[in-house]
Amino acid sequence: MQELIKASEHYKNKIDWLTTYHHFSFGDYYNPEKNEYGPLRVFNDDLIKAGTGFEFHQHRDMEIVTYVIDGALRHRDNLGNDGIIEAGEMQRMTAGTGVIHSEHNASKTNSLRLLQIWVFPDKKGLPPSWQQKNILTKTEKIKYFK
Amino acid sequence: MAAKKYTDEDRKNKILQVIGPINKSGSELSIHQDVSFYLSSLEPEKKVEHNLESGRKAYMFVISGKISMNGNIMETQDAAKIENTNTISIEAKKQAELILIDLPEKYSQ
Repeated sequence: MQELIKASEHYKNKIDWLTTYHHFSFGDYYNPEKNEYGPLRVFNDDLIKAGTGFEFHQHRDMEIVTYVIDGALRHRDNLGNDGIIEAGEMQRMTAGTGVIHSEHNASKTNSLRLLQIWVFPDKKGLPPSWQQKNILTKTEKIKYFK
Repeated sequence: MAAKKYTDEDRKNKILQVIGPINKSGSELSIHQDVSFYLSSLEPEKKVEHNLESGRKAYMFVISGKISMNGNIMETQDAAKIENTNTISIEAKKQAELILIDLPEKYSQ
């Protein structure tokens, strides 16, 4: 069985610095039919303007995957991490007992498109951690992501 | 951090696993749940398949491009929930970038 969800069906929220598509309930968007799919809880497709982003906020007991499609994201958290996730890179963050982080477009000129995907962890109270990986080498990024 | 870097060839016209469950993962990223993430970069007319084991389902998203998935056309930002299916067959109609999340029907929380 396949259920197709057209692009226009995702909940779209556009404010001055962010255009975001929520596939599942998130923030002010609540849809009782779209609370989760198995352990997949959130799927957001975000377009963030240059020089802007999400200020520090907290997560708990959630596995948060960030995949940068275009541009670069500066990620800072209270674990002491301060780094960039570039196009073609993926990060997994375990919020566990709690993490506070901020996510900003690292560029002053270019927009940033990323996917943020939340998955329920298989147990609560995990120690916070993260892992990051380049999916493409630098020359391939130039080819793929302009 | 994992030392291995993927190259273009690793996911070109293939399905590349990029995240796996923490007790099962190899060089890809790990996650504390029984899920796997895959990326694929398909040239026009190229085909790939992903097998779903019994008791599993998938969520697929077209980052960009156009594909046919089990006979259904999907375009940029379209998504699909796939269940009770053994094989997901994908053919690119235009250059396409895809992400696929392989999920369990039953899971711990």
